[in-house]
Amino acid sequence: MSRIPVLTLLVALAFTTPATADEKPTLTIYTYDAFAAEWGPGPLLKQGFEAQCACTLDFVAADSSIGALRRVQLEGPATKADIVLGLDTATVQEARNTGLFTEHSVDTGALKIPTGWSAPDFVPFDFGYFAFVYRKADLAEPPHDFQELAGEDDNLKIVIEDPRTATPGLGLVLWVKAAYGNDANEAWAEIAPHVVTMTADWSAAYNLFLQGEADMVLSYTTSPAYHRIAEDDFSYEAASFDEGHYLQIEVAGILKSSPHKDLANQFLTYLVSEKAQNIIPTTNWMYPVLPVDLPEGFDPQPEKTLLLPDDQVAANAAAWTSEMLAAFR
Amino acid sequence: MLSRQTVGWTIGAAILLLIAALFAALFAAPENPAAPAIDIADLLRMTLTQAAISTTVATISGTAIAIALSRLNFRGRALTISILSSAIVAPAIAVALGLLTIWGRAGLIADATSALGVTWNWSIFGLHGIVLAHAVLDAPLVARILIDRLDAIPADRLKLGQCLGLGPWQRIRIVDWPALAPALPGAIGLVFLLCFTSFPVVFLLGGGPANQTFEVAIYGAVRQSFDLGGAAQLALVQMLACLVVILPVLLAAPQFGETATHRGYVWRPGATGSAISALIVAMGLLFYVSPLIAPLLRGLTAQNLLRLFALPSFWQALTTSLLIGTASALLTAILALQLSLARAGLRSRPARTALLLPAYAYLLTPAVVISLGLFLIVRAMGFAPQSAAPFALIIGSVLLALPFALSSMAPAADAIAARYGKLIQSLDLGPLTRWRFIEWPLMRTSAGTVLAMAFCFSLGDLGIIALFGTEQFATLPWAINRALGAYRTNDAAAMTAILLVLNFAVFLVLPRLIAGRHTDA
Repeated sequence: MSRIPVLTLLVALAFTTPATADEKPTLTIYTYDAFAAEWGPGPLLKQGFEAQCACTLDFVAADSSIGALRRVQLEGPATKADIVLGLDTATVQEARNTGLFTEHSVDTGALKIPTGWSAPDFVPFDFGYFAFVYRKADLAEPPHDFQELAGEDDNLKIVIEDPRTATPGLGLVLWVKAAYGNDANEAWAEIAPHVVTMTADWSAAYNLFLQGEADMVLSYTTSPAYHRIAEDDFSYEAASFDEGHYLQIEVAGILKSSPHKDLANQFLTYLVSEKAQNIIPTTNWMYPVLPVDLPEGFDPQPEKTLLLPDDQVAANAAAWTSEMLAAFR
Repeated sequence: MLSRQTVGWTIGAAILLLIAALFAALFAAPENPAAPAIDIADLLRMTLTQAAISTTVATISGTAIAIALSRLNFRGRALTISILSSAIVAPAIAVALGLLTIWGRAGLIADATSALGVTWNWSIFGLHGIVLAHAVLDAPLVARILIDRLDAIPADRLKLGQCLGLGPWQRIRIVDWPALAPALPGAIGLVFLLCFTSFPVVFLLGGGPANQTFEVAIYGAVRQSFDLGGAAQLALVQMLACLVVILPVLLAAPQFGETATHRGYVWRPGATGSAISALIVAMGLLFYVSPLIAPLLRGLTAQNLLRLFALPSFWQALTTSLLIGTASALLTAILALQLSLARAGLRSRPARTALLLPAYAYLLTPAVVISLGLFLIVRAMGFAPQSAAPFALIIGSVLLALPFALSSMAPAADAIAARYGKLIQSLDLGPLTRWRFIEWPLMRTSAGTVLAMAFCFSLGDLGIIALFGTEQFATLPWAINRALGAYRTNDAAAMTAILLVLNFAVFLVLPRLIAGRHTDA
């Protein structure tokens, strides 16, 4: 038995990193993984901000933005996080209701967001639209709205995300609701036969689509831009829907418990500066909130935008989700 | 010197305490009254139906493979058995994805049929897909457990049966069945539990809310509605439902028999029988191995690997995975050994069951509960989750591996007690001498299996790292998830392939290294 403590100690030593002795304050940001990853915007933003702030910027990645929020909720006021970055329009009200966030002092007046932005507690830093992505070679005539999608031959299969676990899934529920209101129920009943499966997260759905298991996948209007710019592959398109596309705005908020609120505000100001916004499109594959030039490969934004008010979403998301799931039983 | 029983009971009690603490932490956490109500009766019905069908299919095919293998004697038979054993450590998510490349809409069979001018309209998504995946994962397991029993049939019995000229069905009924019957409840119970608590397979192939398991619903309650109390309740219902299955199995199953089985005699059937047997074994191998080959071919291309090897985060994740795996394997082996030796010294059957029950309880505890509970406990104790991450990962993997480790080590320890107990007593051997000269030589084979299995379990963990992982602290499966989440499918494919290779290499090679010349698996 005496071997166990020794072993534990050895493992502990293997993972202990030497403490840093510098006196600079550390700003800790909880975010979703793709944002903090070495290929995401995180490292570039860290470099840019640290050059001007005399501080250390730490990104702590959870598996998703909702995961980052859950982590802060679990940790309560003792959390190390100063900022939660990556919440979106569908979850922002829930975050607000936790009472853990405080107002920011960032000037958001110059930001260009299709529906405008006025919330005093969260700063929007990029946005995108949900869309069905397809391969041009497989689908010569993609549907132009949900009705056409429902009316397609049963062999046309789409893969979507589960609204209970994935933001795009919830986004689709809101999209159909915004487009069809009280008729959403019937819309779902007609769409359901085309859904080949509902995955736990975006990556599983997208991967199934890439493997050829479906003709279309619920993703973003910006997804084809990734294939064009990063892979030089021009075979993907996002189907343009006449009802409009549901908007997802990604936001960041400062926690009440943060001892570095000034620094946090400085970072958010930097996040919506032209310098930082130029980084966003080709690292996070979303639209910037300033009118910076988009690189070649990005499609123009959809003409019609759909978005439901935050409080309505928070109050009804569970009921609308159940309504949607009922169509699949 | 502490007695072995004291050590055993202490470990058992510690594990029980930990389960209680995990659930207490979850129940103490806030409930979310706004969370959508979950229809537990409906969930139970869905989960039971799925588990029952999956178990039936897996048991029947597994038994057929075992019987077929017992009729054959060929070079590579030992390897075939080893490959079947590896199903226990095959990462379910990789198998499910691999199945798509064979059975999916754009898979091998669809390609082949469309080349013949036929459209393949069968969809793998749905209940049948789940059943197929579970059969692929669990039939080899059943076969592996049963082939030992068949190989242990005494040569006299086989020769007698042959002399009497028993037909193929009579042989199964009269010769095989008595050997199989004692092992079947345990095998069925294990497969049922695996199917009942299945998570990645159901999530990937389920096709939507019509097919769910408790694990999936618990994941949803935690992730989406943040209803931790509700999740804990679901987990309790799942545990109770599984206990109803596992208790009778634990009590009814006679203790496992001899440790090492050497085939005394091979009774070969006629040409037709041999051909049918060979066909069944080949089909079984094909079903199991084919979904594993596809990810390897896809992932292991020079271009993918070069790109991957240039990523510092890959090397970091690999190192972390190897370190955590090694620590988990050692700790699992030590705990399983202590529990097995303590149990071997016990006479009363209820006490023997009680000692192992806490370890088995983890088989029923959803990974989300383990992970979330550990997270909450770590927080409550005032540690930052990041600094506790390696420990949480090790503890979680050890607990997941322990039931399987025990099922390999406990019978070995029992057999030693039965065969050498009196000798040890009469020679008055001290615990260390006894260990060195009698127990270690006889248990090193089983120890090798346990180490390899625990290592692979830890390597494949995705449940616990999901809460503790960050970009600074990543394991290989976590890194795969990250790559998939950022359009980097090629990196993910390469890492999945490396994970698979590592898994099977360790599982097939490590036991042989440790067992030395004593190999008889």
